[in-house]
Amino acid sequence: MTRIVVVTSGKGGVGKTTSSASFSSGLALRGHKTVVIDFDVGLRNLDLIMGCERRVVYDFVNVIQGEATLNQALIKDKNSENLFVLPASQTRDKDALSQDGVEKVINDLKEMGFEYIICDSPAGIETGALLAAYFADDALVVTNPEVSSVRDSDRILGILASKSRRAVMGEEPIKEFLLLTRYNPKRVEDGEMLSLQDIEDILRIKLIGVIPESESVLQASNQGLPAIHIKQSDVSEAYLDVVARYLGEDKPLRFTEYQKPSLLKRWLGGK
Amino acid sequence: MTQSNHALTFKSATLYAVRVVLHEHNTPNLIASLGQRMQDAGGFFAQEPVVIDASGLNETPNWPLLLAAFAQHALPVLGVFAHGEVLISAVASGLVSIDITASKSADSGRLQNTDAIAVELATPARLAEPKPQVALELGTADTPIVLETPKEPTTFLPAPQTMVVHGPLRSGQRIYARQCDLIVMGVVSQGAEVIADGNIHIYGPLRGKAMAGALGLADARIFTTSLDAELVAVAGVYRVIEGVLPATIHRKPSMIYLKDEVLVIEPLGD
Repeated sequence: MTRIVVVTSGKGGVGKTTSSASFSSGLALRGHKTVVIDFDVGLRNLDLIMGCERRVVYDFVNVIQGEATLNQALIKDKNSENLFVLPASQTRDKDALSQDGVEKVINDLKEMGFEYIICDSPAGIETGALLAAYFADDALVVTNPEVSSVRDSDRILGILASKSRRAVMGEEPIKEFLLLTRYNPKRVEDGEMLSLQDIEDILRIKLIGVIPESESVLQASNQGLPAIHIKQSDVSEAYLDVVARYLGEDKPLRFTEYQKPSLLKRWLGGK
Repeated sequence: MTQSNHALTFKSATLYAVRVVLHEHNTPNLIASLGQRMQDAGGFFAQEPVVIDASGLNETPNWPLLLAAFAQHALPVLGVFAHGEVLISAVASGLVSIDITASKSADSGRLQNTDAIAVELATPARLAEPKPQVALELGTADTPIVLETPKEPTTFLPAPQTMVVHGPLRSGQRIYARQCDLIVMGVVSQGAEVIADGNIHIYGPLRGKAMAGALGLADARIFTTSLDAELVAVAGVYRVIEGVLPATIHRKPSMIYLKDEVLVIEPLGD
């Protein structure tokens, strides 16, 4: 049974594309046939983060409008043989997407045997975001530990609960998961950032993982490599934990406590 | 009361309606005034059943024109309350005569004709103009229409069917419990709004806006297990909550009600 997962947030710049790339890579590393779709028509980024921007010939909009087949548009990821990328169009805008068009593509992908379809949503609550979320079974709501991101995530949760296909058809609701990104335990302890507990209290959805703030994310995107592939880094470990928890494993939370560096380290300029 | 023994039965029904009192018979003036009121109220009165009170008129307005105006504003007219010539002409235009001096008791209605359902009309309470607790600039708030009030004080009308809403109410969501009480099981997030014509009970933190007694019921109350609201209002009297509340009510079970037209916030329980 194919599972459709939307990675959404409401707020922009919180880590949706970064997380879509790493999450789908993680599923593929575990042997699941996965496709990740970029719904940000006109401002496509997923292809850059996945490192396949030079191999885009046909895109999502071409497929919807019948100008290309899925096989022509899908790009095989160079890091994992189970992972495929369906990039967005850069030249068109979001009006090129239609609900029927998206439905057909998703059904075709199901027939191709994909186990997971990850939808990378654009920011906002307009057509692109609504369409990315419409067919979802699960939702990863990406949130930064700061007030405007939490407010926007709350808003998008309301929209998922009322405007998705499952809501409209009266089926079992979308399973919502909180993915906290750019978490900085030191700033939480200093009181500058909202804590994990505060955010859980406000949003009241199941936490699937905490991704710490890290320089390796920028390095990864510059290299065109999803962060999960940067071995041994904290971000990579955190994303691997997220994938494990999504697949049902029980993993304790890491990277949420501030480790005060030892006196020596502080003298020598540690953070 | 005639009772048919198989295909149908006659029962009584209680209906809330809006009474539109006509002060003059000049039909163009009436139509213009209606338009202005509807514009001022936004969508507030759309689809609300209306009884036209022409009891104060001695001369007849142009009923067909007037009724067309009401239809245009999506205000279904149930009937007319009038006397003498005015009533005769209204009935001739197809309106039903409705006597709204009937008592407000909740049980029996009165059959007007054998083929009419028993309708008992509660005269609506005075719609309060928004009165802030503290002197504030009102900005561009819509002022609801003030309708004629009866001389008797507003009685507490029983809630027909309480609306119960489950699950967290998220930012941007709004619930309006029309003509009844509202119960919310779960948190009302910042940016969410709960509105009721009756009372509001929130079994969860109230972090958004709550407005009880929306049509002017001054007895309405708001209850919550954890008060952290942005704004609370009862019968139009509102208070924006900036800064931190006293420790006895901040994030504690609380009750908000009107006492002598002043908003009171009290801790609940012992």
